[in-house]
Amino acid sequence: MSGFLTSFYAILLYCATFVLIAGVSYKIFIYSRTPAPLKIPVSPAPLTQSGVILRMFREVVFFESLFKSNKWIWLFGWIFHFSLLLVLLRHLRYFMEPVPLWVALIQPFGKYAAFGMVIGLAGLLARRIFVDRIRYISNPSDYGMLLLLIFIALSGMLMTFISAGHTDIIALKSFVLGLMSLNWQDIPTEIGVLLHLLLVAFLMFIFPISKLIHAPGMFFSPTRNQVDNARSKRHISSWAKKLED
Amino acid sequence: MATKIEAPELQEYIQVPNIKPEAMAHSKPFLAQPAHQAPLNFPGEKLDNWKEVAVTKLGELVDRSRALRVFLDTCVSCGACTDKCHYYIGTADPNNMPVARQNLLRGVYRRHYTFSGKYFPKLVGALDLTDDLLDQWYSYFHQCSQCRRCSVFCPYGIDTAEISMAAREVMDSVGVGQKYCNEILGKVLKIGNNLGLPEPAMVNTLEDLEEEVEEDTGS
Repeated sequence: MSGFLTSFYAILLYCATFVLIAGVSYKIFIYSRTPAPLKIPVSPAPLTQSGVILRMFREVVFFESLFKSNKWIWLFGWIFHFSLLLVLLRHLRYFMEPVPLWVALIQPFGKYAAFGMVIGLAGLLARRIFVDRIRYISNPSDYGMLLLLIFIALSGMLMTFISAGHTDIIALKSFVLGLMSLNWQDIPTEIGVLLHLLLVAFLMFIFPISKLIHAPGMFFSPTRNQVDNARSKRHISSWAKKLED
Repeated sequence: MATKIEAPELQEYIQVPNIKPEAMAHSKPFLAQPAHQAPLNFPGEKLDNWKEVAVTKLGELVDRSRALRVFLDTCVSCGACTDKCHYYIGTADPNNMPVARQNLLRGVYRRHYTFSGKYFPKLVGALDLTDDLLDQWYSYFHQCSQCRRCSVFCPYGIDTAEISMAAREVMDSVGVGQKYCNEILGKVLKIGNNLGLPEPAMVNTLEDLEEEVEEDTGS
């Protein structure tokens, strides 16, 4: 059984990693290749490239526009994303031997950030259910995505915080390192870790083909990443130039 | 007969109304006549194979506009824009919420140009292009004034103007144009100005204006 599970999860995770990396790279390639025919930065727009970088930084790190827009969505969304970052950084310890000091230091924060994830996601889910405007625009996949992330967080917390749910973390780390060095080791067979990995693999599969693509996509948003210099520097796309020549 | 105005009075803090589906579904501009469409090389009337033409046109537009492609892909329907459009605040029609307006087009894009929409249309809200949906396009994409207020508030800067412009272009290409725009553009092409004033009338108007300026300023 353990042998079958190990092979199943090894192949599943290889496939998921491939789909995630190839899919996101393909999307980024398509976005960067598609021409932007017009300058459409939204005011107040930066006049220099460094201004654009600063604007993007504020958008990505603080969700500036969302803060201006709606404090509740900002609060829940930001708590979720920041917690997710801490949790992801904490998980680096399963991919590295020896564990670097900064990953070790982040461990307690990353551990409790799981609660932040669940609080943020639950808040967003509650808004989808109780605010009539947001209920109107929600598709089944929008609820599904939130539930998937909630279950990922809960299955992780089951292993971290409930002693009955603990998994053999040493064995897990050797399984992960084994995957990376193409030298498969047995996967621990507790239900918590199996469920957690299954859900994460599913998330990786759907990442490039769902709205989760907003993560790389937002860097390509012309209203945010353009310099407002249409007067001083001529902007013309490839296909518009052909029409002109 | 005067229309009864039900828009809420403007307060110090904007009161966001609850949604009233279909509240503005009846409102649409006059359809362009074949004579208005012809100078712009748009089909005079709705084509028989309009669905294929529309889907192909949408694909072309997406291929040549990064804005359109990124905006159609990245919306997470967080709801931040839902109370930002003055047409929504004034009418409470949910299709006047920027994201819902976009979804009328995004649904079709998903149905034909994304994996999830091709194989799991119900799950991701992908839409088949039908006569009924085209009527909704004609109504709601002409209820957007392309002021771009929503794009200020969107965490990804998604600009409904880009999307409603694309939808109007698709509609033009299948022969469902809007009279006010297309008639005027035809005049610009044929006569040289948006009012359709012939040259002698234009010259005369300017000469009158010159005289009046001279009378007023004495030089």
